[in-house]
Amino acid sequence: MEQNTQRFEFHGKTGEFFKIWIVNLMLSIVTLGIYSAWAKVRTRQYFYSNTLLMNTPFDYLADPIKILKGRLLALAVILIYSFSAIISPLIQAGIMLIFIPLFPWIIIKALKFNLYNSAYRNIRFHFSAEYLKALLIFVGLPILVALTAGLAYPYFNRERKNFILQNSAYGTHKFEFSATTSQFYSVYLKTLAVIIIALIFLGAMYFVIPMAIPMDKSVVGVYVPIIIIFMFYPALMIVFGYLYTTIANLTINHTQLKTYQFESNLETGKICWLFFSNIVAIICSFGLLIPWAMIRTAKYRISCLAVMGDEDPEIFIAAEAEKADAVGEELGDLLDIDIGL
Amino acid sequence: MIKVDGNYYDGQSSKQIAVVITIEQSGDVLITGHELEIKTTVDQLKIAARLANTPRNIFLANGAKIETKDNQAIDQLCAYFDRNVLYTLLHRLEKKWPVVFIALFITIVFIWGGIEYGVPFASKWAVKGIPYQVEQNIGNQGLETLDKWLFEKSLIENNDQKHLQALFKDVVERSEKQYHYRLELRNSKQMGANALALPGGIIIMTDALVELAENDQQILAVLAHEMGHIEYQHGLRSVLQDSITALFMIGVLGDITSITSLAVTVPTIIVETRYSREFELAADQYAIKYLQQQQIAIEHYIQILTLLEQPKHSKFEFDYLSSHPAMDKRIKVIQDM
Repeated sequence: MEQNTQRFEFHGKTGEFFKIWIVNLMLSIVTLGIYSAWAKVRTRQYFYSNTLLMNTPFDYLADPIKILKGRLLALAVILIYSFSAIISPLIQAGIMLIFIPLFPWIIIKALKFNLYNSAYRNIRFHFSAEYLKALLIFVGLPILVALTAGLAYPYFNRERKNFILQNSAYGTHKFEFSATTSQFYSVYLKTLAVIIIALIFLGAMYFVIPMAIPMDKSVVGVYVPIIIIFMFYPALMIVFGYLYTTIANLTINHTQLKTYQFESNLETGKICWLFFSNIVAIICSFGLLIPWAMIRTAKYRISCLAVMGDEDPEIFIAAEAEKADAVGEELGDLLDIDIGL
Repeated sequence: MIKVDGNYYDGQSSKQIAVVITIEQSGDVLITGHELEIKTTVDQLKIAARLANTPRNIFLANGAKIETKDNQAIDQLCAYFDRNVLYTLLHRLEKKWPVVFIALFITIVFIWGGIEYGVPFASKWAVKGIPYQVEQNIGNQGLETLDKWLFEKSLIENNDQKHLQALFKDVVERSEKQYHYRLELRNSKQMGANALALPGGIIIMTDALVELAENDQQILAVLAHEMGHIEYQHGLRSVLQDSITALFMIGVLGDITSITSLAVTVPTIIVETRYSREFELAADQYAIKYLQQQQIAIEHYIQILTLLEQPKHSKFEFDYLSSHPAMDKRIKVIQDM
């Protein structure tokens, strides 16, 4: 049976977004960060409403005032934490201990806030999860990963994505996630193979470079390691790009909403090139090309997304309204906790 | 009267209905579509802020939404009924290219001013509020940690130690603050010839440094430099400045970039090392003042700095990323003082 495939589209434009970005930056700095809450909403709204599915845009509906409040509270927490070290490291260790059980709560709150403020066709997304499950996955499993020297990491990552997706909903309909633990292990095994190939390649360079470029024996010991170190970063990037691409594809290709099946076909080469050229461009332009990098990254990622299925897009029903505050989201932001998929 | 095409969503289901909105000058609004007719007024509507050319949302009081691409008509509506005044202004800023240059200029001036004056001033002011007891605590804890990881007992003979302590007493007598100064001598393989200052009045000198110094004047100069760090509270100030800088970078760049954390880390490190170099120069200045008062030739200071530099002569000096100013520059500054 031939199924109906709908592609996601992204209509953002670099020039247009550049102007929004620079005004955001200026107003954030001039207001000593207060405007940054509005800047965040406008940036997200720009990306959401330029993302279209079946010719209909997505919406980001967060209230900047809520984000500002969340930000101030998060800042206060961070400041108390940093200054407690000055008074006594014991107090800081105590605060650290409080943070551990708080961590799953932050994650739940942040996901709730982000999803609740995302909408499509005036139906909001939702997230609701049990605290104990989050505690098990975000505190328990990392301990297991540490105890097994990383062997449990693919399992942890799969559980993490499973937790996020299965507890997310569009209106009243929950998402489903069908990727198995063994599929995750297979991706990481392949990555390991890529790493080994990269290491063999770098090791071989140690002998190849002196043969290819004639140089004094005394210099070999100095320059060859430097050249190899410079080759190490691109190699690292390829490994990272490969992992990112395959995990993203695996996750999205095993996500369903009702009878809709999501599809992603990111390519490792393109992602690596995107990341690499973004970093080079951002550094060389002293940050001025950040908006350009954001737009082209979104454009590529979204162009690789599709949804398959014959379901009528008009059947989704809104869930009950809920309260979602921004504290978790902003704490997660400040602490640099990786919350998204 | 304005007519606007759009899509209507009731907020209960994902159903999409094409509608026409008719807005009268009186403020009466009529929404019509397939099997749909709603009468309301403009002040019942929540009109979203304009953002570039993205589809515009109009929310009805009951949670329904109309999505329209006709931004121009909605702008006219807002202007006529005095709605969204601030957001209209904001959109004007966001659409004009000349504004970009002005915004860029203001941004650069503010960042530069903040780095140059704002953050140092704020940290100087904040440090004043920290009681001496706390400062001393931090210093003591710092020494404890260093002793655990980096330092061993000094191997300098007792008599020489006494001599060094006497020199030290002579330097710190000149303190303008009521600090309890103390000199700690340590041996360290990792650190080589080095001296450091901890908040609250602890100065540590390594055995290698004592050995390297050719005379007492050189030791005095080094001690005076470290004392400068303590008198100016550089330790605490650098902690504060570094955290303010990091927070600022996360706050401003954080969600704007979110592409690569490199875009946040690199500028943070550049700014922080800059502060550290400024502190070094200030401590140099302090040392010079002391030497001049004592009528000790500045050459001694330059000599010990040169000696300290020597074992590392093979290392690259990246001035921009170095916590200490490049030595030749530093010596030149000292000579000009």
